Amino acid sequence: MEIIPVTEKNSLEQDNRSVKRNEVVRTENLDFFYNPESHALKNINLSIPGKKVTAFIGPSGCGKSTLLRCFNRMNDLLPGSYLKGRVLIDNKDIYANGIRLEELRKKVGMVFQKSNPFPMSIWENVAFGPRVNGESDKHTIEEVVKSALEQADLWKETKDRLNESALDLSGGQQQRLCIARTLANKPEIILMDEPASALDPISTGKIEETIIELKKNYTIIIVTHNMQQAARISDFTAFMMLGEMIEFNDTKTLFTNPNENLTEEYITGRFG
Amino acid sequence: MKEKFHEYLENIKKDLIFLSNQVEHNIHQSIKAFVTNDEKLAKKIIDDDKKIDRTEVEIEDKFLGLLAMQQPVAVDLRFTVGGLKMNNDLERIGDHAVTIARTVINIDAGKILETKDDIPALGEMACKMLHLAVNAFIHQDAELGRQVCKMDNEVDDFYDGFVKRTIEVCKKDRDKLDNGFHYVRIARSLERIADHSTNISEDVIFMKEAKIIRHHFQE
Ligand SMILES: Nc1ncnc2c1ncn2[C@@H]1O[C@H](COP(=O)(O)OP(=O)(O)O)[C@@H](O)[C@H]1O
Ligand SMILES: [Mg+2]
Repeated sequence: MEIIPVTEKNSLEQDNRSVKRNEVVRTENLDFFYNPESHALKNINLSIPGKKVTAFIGPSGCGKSTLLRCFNRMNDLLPGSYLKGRVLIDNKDIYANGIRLEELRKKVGMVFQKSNPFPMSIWENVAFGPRVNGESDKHTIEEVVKSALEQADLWKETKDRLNESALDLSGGQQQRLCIARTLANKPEIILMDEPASALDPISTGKIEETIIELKKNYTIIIVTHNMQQAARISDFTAFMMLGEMIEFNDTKTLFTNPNENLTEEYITGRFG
Repeated sequence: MKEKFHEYLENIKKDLIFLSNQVEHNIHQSIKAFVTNDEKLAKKIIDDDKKIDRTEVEIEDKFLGLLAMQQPVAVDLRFTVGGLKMNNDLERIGDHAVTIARTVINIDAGKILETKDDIPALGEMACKMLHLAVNAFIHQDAELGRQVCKMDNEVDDFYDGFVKRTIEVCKKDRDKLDNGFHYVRIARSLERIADHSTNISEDVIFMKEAKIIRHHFQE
């Protein structure tokens, strides 16, 4: 794993350059409107590195989920909404003509705030994506399901009950199942919108461990309401307010020595 | 005219989100004040509640203005009615933060009960419900609202168990009776916060689907 060095002086300049080196997601002058009166994102310029955890923090309603949903075009579903500027993934404009949405959403998977397993068995939940994508070789599917459940740290608990309904799992297990379901699609980027916000502290801890494991192989972008969580698991943190990106920095700097007064005010008021 | 109207609605929605953030923050702080026995923080919470009350009054005025001048209908009317209720629930949640803070000031820090750690645990459950309810409102997500309603039973059970455990402690050690009473009062506020969060979620479901699910008539 590559460690991005941060020196005392010039830390921002330094790591902006390092970030650029393995940039996976970039936004350019991104604006998003739910309707003409609801301007949810304002001129967001951001560069997110690969195989790292990047956290979005900020008060409720500041646009974290909206920004996350721009990365796999989830917002497209909303009538009347529109976007200006560009979102590039691996240097390709994902809003350009000719982009195939199914492909994009396979590559950029998403885990939601509320776990939403399908009302079918555990096994079928995870096998769902590969099957829909045309995989029919039973052996291959078995392998994918096992590997996905292992990565989501759910294999041990479920390997003897794969045919039971996913709805019988506990809340924390359901959320890890949703992570496994996403992983079965072999994504490169995983978006997580407050994945632990409905879970108890123990399940939250497990999800956090899973995330830290996953970043070896995936780029993870996570919205979190909990600043300690951002501090614990992320490499980079973006602080937003009222639709604007106030500061993007490596997590340690952002929490110990932020560049912006607004960041400082927010984290000192809210930390703890 | 239509544009102005929606601009006005968006503005009120922003105010409600702003109020939600203030209230969420104050509740978090009140639990922290309890855990760390921080009287100074408790006093600040009581003081900050004045801002919450002011915001609530402003929002109510705006909604009343909207009702009087624009006569909203259908989804906009439901947003107005649901929003007014939510505004009220948020203010009441704010009052519970004050109750907790006042109680913290009265607690005798020398006499800790064995059930002390249950309070932040209960607090976390209540805060999660509040946070998710607010999120359901922001996204107008009825499904998320339903999930919050389901969480309420867990809070009630935990609260009941907590009261029983605390009574047991007090029975064995009469010296702890005063603090035991304070603990229960704080837990009661947290349990009420979960109820108000459930109300907010129900309001969101109403705004979105025009279904009234209060009192669980059709379950
Ligand atoms: N479906 C929607 N329709 C209209 N406005 C929305 C919708 N979802 C969110 N918004 C608005 O967009 C802003 C940002 O919301 P969001 O991205 O959900 O914030 P966060 O995730 O930071 O809490 C809020 O002001 C909210 O009111
Ligand atoms: Mg959100």
